[in-house]
Amino acid sequence: MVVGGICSSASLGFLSSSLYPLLAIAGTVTAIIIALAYAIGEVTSNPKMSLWSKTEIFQLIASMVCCVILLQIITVFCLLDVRSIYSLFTNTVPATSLTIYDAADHYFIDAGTWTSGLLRSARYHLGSFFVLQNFGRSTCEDMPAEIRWLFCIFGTVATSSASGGISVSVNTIPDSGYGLLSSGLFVSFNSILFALLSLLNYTFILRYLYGGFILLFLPLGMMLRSMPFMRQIGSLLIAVAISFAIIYPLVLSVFYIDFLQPAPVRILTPCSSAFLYSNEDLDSKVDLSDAFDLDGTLYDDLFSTSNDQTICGTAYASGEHGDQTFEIIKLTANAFLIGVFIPSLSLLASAAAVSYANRFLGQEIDLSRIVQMV
Amino acid sequence: MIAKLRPKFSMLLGILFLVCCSFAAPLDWLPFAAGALTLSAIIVAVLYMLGIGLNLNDLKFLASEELYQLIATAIIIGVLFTADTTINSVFASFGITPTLQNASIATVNGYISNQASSFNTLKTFAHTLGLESSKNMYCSFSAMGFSVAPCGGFASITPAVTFGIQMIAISVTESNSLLTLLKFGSTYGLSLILPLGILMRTFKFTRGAGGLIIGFGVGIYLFLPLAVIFMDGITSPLAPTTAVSLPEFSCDIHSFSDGVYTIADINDHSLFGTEAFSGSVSLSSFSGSNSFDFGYKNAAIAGGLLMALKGVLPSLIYFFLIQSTLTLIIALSAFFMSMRSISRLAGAEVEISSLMRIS
Repeated sequence: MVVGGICSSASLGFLSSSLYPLLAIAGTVTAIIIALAYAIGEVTSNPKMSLWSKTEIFQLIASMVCCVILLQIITVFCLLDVRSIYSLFTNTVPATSLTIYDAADHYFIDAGTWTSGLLRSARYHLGSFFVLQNFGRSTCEDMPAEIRWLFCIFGTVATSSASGGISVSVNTIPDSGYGLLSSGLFVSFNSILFALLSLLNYTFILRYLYGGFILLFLPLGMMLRSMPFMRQIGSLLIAVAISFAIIYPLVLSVFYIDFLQPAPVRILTPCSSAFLYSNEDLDSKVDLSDAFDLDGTLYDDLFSTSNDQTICGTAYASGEHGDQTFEIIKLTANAFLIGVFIPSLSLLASAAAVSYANRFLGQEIDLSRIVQMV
Repeated sequence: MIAKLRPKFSMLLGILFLVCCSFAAPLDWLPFAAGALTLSAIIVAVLYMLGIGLNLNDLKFLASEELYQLIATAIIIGVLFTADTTINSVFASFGITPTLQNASIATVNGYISNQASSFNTLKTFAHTLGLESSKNMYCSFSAMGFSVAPCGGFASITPAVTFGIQMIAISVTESNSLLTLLKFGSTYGLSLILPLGILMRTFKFTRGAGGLIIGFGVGIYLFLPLAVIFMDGITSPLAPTTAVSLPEFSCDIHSFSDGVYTIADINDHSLFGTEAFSGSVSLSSFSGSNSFDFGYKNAAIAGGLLMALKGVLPSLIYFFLIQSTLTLIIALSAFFMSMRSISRLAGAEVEISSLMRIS
């Protein structure tokens, strides 16, 4: 089993110790079948079978060459350190070596981490708005201070207003207006959640590519390509293996360059004060003393940070920072781009490469239905 | 055949570069594109040498075919270089400086700034609305009493404010997505995406992906900003002249039916006071002076707020439908169409309808 990533020594060792023999076995079995068909053709004086056998043996050799080339390309990709390319665009490259496959994997990890932080902040804001819009107060108006407590306790009616009206106890929910904000924030919350789920989906696809994908597709494709009526399927399997093992991680690794930029100049995952509340705990912000809060500081209690933080070089001391609703709504767009748009573009490029790789293997294929799945 | 075509291609490329050299042009992406072309040429040359060395005519034919594709790519790069400098020069004459990309980024930043201002106005208004509309009073004495909500009428404004906030939220998200794409295209479109596409296009089995990547890089660098500037030129005359502004107000908890109030009374601050209603509303869009008589002072204030909200509706609709949604749709359509066309030009027939559906 492949462990520790596709470029780990265990994985590369697995390629040479298991996959190559597997391909050899598949090739041998196929060659035996072709040889049997040739023998039968000679015995029965069937020139069609003999011709088919001669054609298929060449196709078998072509398939084996394609598989070997693919595995060698994967090995080269594992040896290539993309930091030298990244250094052309940014000064902040990782200290450890970075292969194309690592860069693609890190794209999803970093994008998922960023999106998860944004989602937690949005959830915190929604929870805070819910607390605020359900926090009511009773106040006593127009009462002399000395007897206000008496009338508040007993709710007594007294006539004192200059307009001739009635001075009474008043109930209000002073921060209920934030419930209206939550309607706009809910739309963003759902979009960010969708982006995160999409990222997880594409991460799974990538991890599957790094795992048993090649193990299944290459030997099977090589065998099927030389079988009657199954050449298209075999070609498709090899073309898919070539495209998804090369193109998909390559395109993702290109977009990862922006993640390596210094935080203030990042475009896809910009820094923002929206992440101030990503790790805050709502339960610790509201306590019994807020019940006696007469000067409206519940909002300040909820939207304050417990610890000092530094985001993109800007220091935020622990304390009140207000809600960051607008920032969260703005960054929803970035979450969608990194979670849905860019991985879809990578998948589309891979699907485009499948068609051309298939043509290279001598087949034409219509992938429009598969692309709709994207 | 190559020998016959070589002088003509050289002349054509020379003319292209001479034309563009007459304009000031940003050259930061050109070294990367040239480097990618050079690397591709080296790879093709190595393949051709292998074909000669191993006496493989198929390999020689493949390398020759790839060389023609490389020449076509070089022509595309030349045309792109010319187009980039020409467009920047043309727009500079219209006062759009320093580059098309920077101008489009500044335009969308302006959109977001306006939307931020409107959002904050609506947020403040929503907070006050929630506070005032939730007021109710009660009195009781020895288990007898009554409760009344003189400010309950303000709650009728809540759906309109909610809708306005949702519109602004969607507008901001759309505008920021456009801004992110513009920034990404300006920074990486031709300096990173294009060279990658050139390299991928060199090999037969990655030609499709390479063409798609070239189309993406050129489209996001050139056609997306062009569409944004174009749409801004069309839609900016439609922009509302007044900023989104809503009055401050308060609910009089002691107000019951003690008279008949009209809209004119709301505007009469000596009667209602600025604390009750700080702005003014106009009756010009309504017919019938007695259409809006209210038996409660608070109901009159609520009526005035509804009309004030009606006054900001054109701005909100402009932000949501015109400035954000329409601009984004047209810009993305132009981007995807150019992506498909350039991909075809680069030899890749790619179905990008799925990407358009996602966007």
